[in-house]
Amino acid sequence: MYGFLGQNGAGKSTTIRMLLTLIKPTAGEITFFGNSLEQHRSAILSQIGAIVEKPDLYKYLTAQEHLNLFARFGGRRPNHNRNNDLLQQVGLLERANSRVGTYSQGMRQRLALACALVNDPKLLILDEPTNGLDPQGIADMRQLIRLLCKEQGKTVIVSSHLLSEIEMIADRVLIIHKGKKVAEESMQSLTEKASQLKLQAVPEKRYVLEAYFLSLTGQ
Amino acid sequence: MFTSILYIELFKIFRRPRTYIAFGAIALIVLLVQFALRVNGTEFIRFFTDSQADTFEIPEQQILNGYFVCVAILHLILIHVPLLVALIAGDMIAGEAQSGTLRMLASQPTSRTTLILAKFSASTVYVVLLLLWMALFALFGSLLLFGQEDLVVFRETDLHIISQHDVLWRFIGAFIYAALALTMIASMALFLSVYAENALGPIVATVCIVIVFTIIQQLQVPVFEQTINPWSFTTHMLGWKGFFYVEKNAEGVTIDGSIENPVALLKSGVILVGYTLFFVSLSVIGYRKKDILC
Repeated sequence: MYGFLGQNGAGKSTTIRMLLTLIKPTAGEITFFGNSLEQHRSAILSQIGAIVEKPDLYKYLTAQEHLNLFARFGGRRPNHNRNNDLLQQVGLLERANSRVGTYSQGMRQRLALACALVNDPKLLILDEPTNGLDPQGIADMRQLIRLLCKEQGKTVIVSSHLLSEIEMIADRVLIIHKGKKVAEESMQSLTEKASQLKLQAVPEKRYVLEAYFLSLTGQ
Repeated sequence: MFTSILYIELFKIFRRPRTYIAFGAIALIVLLVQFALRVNGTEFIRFFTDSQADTFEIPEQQILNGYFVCVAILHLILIHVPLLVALIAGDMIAGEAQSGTLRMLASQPTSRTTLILAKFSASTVYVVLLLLWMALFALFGSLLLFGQEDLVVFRETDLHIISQHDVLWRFIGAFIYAALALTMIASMALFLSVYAENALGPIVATVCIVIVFTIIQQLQVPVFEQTINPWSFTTHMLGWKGFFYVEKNAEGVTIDGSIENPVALLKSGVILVGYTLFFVSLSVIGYRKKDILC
């Protein structure tokens, strides 16, 4: 689990949009799985599932129809049983045939995750996946992301401006500030570095990332 | 891959309630015109025949047949169908941008060129289905209601009588031609849609462009007649009428299977295809370069 941290406006969403070819980088090259994204776009994107910011879905389609649609995008034949497994996993099986227009924000977020998973990607990129969710929704999403990492062995990149969220789930963290990478560490090494900062604001483990982040961004 | 994406686009179009507004509107308008002609058709015919009273001997009841009603319907509504086409094609990219689904679409493994071509093809299928629907009501419905006779086509100072055995292929030609014209409108709406992030913009813009060029064409100002009108798509959109203008022999009798000016008809068709290719190419180029920020 890879945490991607930065303040609002630091460039997290812009980076993610570049990773998903929604916008073109003005310089540099992006590589995934050892291949250039520009040259192997389709092959690379077929191995990536993503949620970009607030997931907007087709309000007039059902969850089943969404999964069929995304399966076709990945070049697969829609599979009703696989769809049901995914919907079960995200807790939407009972609403599988309801139109998305009748879903709450949390349900849409979970369906977007199911859509991202329908082609069994190696890598998941989730941009602010807990945005707009209530506390229970946030906890459910966190649990689901952990499950995908630990039980299905997927690599997940989660971007967030919520330090506590990342701290709870990430194994490794990248911090950007004003569009530039300021740190990339394992959570363990980051904890050690933060304790060496001797900051007063490190009374317990859950504040480690916050202290380190503030020191890096000069606040 | 292209067929999968085309399937997805068609599935989305036909799952949206909005799509059926156009089909409902066409059915309603055609039925209204048929009702009006059933009730007051002879008066309508007299409006044309009075100007040619000296030469006219066919009874109004005979003129008012299914073929005549279908031509009248095409005259009345084909000019308004671009609005219904713009409603779908103008929404293709801008609507997805507005609702936020464009992000998901553009981050799929499908290339942007494939996506935009699939969207254009889906719009074309929609246009064809809309015209088949119109043909079902306007042609076959009128034949059922008004029967089958020779078709009389009125022009400003002339008229053509087309044998009923020589009519059906002309309608097929006219509907195919109308499909070309409306596909061109779909390509223009799609092009505008690429550059907008609000679905209403390209829909309104497409309709405004059609209205402006129609007005320019109807003003018959010499400077426009020489410069804009020969190349204006609105001039060539009406080319379907050419299928009902028939060649006459030395005795003034219409020749079966003939078209008065096939070269002009072909030229109009080529111009419409040219416009379509132009707008589709611009849409592909624009969409490939587009940064998806919404």
